[in-house]
Amino acid sequence: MKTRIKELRARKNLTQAQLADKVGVRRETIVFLEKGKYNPSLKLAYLISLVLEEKMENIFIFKEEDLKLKN
Amino acid sequence: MAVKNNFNGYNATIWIGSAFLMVSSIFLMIGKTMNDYLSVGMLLGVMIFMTSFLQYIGMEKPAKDERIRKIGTISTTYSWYITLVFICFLLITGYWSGVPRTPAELLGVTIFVMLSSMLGINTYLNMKGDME
Repeated sequence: MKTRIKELRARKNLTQAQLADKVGVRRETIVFLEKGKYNPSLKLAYLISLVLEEKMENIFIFKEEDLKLKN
Repeated sequence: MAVKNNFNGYNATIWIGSAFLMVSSIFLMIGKTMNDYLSVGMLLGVMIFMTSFLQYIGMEKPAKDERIRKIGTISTTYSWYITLVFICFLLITGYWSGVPRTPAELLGVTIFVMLSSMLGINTYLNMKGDME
């Protein structure tokens, strides 16, 4: 998974700590999210999309093989 | 905006409490019997450990961080599983080999394996993240 959080956060002039405060997590969680090393809950993904004012699918970008439906 | 201090006191507390418990459990495994020093060490360790355990695995109310809770849950589950298998293995091999373990020795092993596996897995997941 890739995310555009870093880019969108910079566009809004938000630091990692500020974004973390707004969505109610620790800064380390934002660091892991930006690196694509953490799979967030639906609630956290939604809150981030609200703060960054962008659709979720434009923030969290999955590889095609990760999104294949079974049958 | 002021820069927040990222130091988490509960992390230090959990490691200190665990250190007391693990050192005591090593002596318990070696000595195979409880004594006054070990009981004080264990009491101190478990009291320090208890003050921060729920925060360490993210189960405090209200929850502060979903990632901490997720990796905390994974690490404690693995720790429980590893300990169960390990203790069963020790009991069975002890019985078959004709060298039965003392209860104090088994308790020492249980405490040591449970703590070391939980701390190890938690630290690993904290560094690696949870993506497949």
